[in-house]
Amino acid sequence: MDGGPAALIQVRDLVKHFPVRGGLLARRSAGAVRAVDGITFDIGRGETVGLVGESGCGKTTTGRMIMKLIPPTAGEIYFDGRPIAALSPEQEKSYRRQVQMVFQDPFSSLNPRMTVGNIIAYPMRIQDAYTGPARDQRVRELLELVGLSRYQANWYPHEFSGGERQRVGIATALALDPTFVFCDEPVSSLDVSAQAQILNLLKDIRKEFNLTILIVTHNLSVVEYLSDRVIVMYLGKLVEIAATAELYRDTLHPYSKALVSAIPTPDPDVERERAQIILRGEIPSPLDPPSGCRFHTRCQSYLGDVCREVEPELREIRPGHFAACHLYAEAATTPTGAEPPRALDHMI
Amino acid sequence: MGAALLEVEDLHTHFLLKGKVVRAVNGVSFSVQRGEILGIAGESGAGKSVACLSILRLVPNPGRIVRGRILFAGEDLLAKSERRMRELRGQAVSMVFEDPLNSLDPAFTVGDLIGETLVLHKAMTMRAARGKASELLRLVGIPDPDRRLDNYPHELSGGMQQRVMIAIALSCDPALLIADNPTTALDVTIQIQILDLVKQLRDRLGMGVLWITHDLGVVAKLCDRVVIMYAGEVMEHGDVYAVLKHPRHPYTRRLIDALPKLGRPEQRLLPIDGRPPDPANLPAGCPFAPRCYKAKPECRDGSVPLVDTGGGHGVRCLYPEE
Repeated sequence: MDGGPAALIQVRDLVKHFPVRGGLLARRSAGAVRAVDGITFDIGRGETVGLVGESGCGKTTTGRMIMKLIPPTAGEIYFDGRPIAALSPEQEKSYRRQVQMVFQDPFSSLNPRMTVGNIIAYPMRIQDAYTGPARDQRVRELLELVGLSRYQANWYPHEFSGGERQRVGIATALALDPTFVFCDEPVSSLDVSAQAQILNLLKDIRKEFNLTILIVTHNLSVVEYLSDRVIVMYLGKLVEIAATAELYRDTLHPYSKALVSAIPTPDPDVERERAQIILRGEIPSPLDPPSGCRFHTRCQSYLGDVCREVEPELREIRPGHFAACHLYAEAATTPTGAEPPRALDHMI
Repeated sequence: MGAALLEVEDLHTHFLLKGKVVRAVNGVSFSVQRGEILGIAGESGAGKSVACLSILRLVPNPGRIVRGRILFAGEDLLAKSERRMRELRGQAVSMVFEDPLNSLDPAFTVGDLIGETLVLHKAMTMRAARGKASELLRLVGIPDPDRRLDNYPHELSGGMQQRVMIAIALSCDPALLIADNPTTALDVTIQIQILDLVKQLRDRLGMGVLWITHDLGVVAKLCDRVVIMYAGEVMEHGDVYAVLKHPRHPYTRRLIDALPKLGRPEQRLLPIDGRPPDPANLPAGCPFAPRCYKAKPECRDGSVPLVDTGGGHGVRCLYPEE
């Protein structure tokens, strides 16, 4: 939402259910993991959006659907106004070129038998981009762009540290001049010093190439450092969307509040002063999510029956700031922009 | 200060590999008081885990404790028989590891896993052990503990598994709990539950805690004092407030500057350039000197002493920050 007509990516009522088969011969369907359960949002051109939430909330699944790596169960994704589910073969090829991905684990995402020069050149080979000497030139440029040396093109991944490997991953993602980059937990497997280098690099390339970025992470301080807007997800649903500064300054949803208060920060003053919200219980299973508001089983502001029975809609509480919570039932302005997401359960 | 619960003095643990000596722990000293939570922080390869395994004398081959003294409640652990060590482990000193699913035997139920420790160390009957196990699960905040006793580890979530690990570690009322990065695999809202639990248990049981982490945020949330390690050495130690608010060692300063801070996204992160030294080929002098913004030639000459700057705040640096 809030991307307006300039939105590069529009996600509408997106659903992904993974069927689970039970029984000895695995024939009987035993329900579905409702990884993503009806979400709607926009990503504006040149915008960096952080999608946060805990393991199993569906954030990576959402990104993978935008990458067209897995098909949605229901709902639509529009890129540049076109539904990505219905692209012609040429459009599809161009789409694959325009959207790129940076992976979480730089140790397993690089082929150990290829030199990093060949790894970076691989997407260009597939897409017939930059032929001949121009391709080698491009590889050298990319290496230098991400802070490595052009002479390292002949090295193998094991000769690099974790942070340097992640630079190779970023160079590979940039090889085809993408418009959109999906970063899936890009720094969570790195040490502190390498983390800072990669975060700075992402910040720089975003500006330099006017990239649109979706960054998925559980680390809220990383999101604050990189993103313009933050989307908070819980068990397959969006619970809050806001401009980054506003989300941290004026958190609305009780789950976002708990997340923000749980971020460890190395400042003992901050740790002593701020309110600590310690949630009860564990994250429920997405196989059988709670009724009504999915967060009601752990909520510190539980209102009673309404939370257990009625699913709250994501509504615009202040301009550009959306939350799905019964606490703000009266405060909501009329929904503007995109349609609010509906519960799609009955359609499946 | 009185007799410390645990005192580690000048510990050297080396690994002898193919004619090379990997100096994983290179002259480390620290102490834990009763009822105190001491954090050991640093990046991967700093020697934190090996230092803690040394305390329990569980360093894997070809690692050797080549020098040092480890005093636990006045007993010299390095002089103990293997049999006495086995009595101490899991009883007076217990340990929680990073990855709960790999540390819990998948073939046993939670009740068996906790019961085993009690039967072995406390000579309880299996039936009495089951009752105590249920009590321990309640203590670590697992709802409906009696039903959970019959679950296998894979039937529990990551946070629950880690609670079971803590329950096992607490089963014999240890005087010292050693925890190696136990919350890295957990989500933040679950992590904070575990940190809160450890603080409560410390208050209630008065045990000492040694908490290894690479996350200075966790240190700020949980610990009373902290030891910052780099390349097998202690770079700085002291009260958490003093070390994180007024770091004296350039390495500590850099570690803090490299972290994104909540509420200050516009402040550009300052990464630490270069790589940590090869532990088989440590530089002479301060191991951080090759990456340090303050290094002068004399930093690379001889070993730099750890100097107490007052109030129990120690720094190993010739040119500490003011």
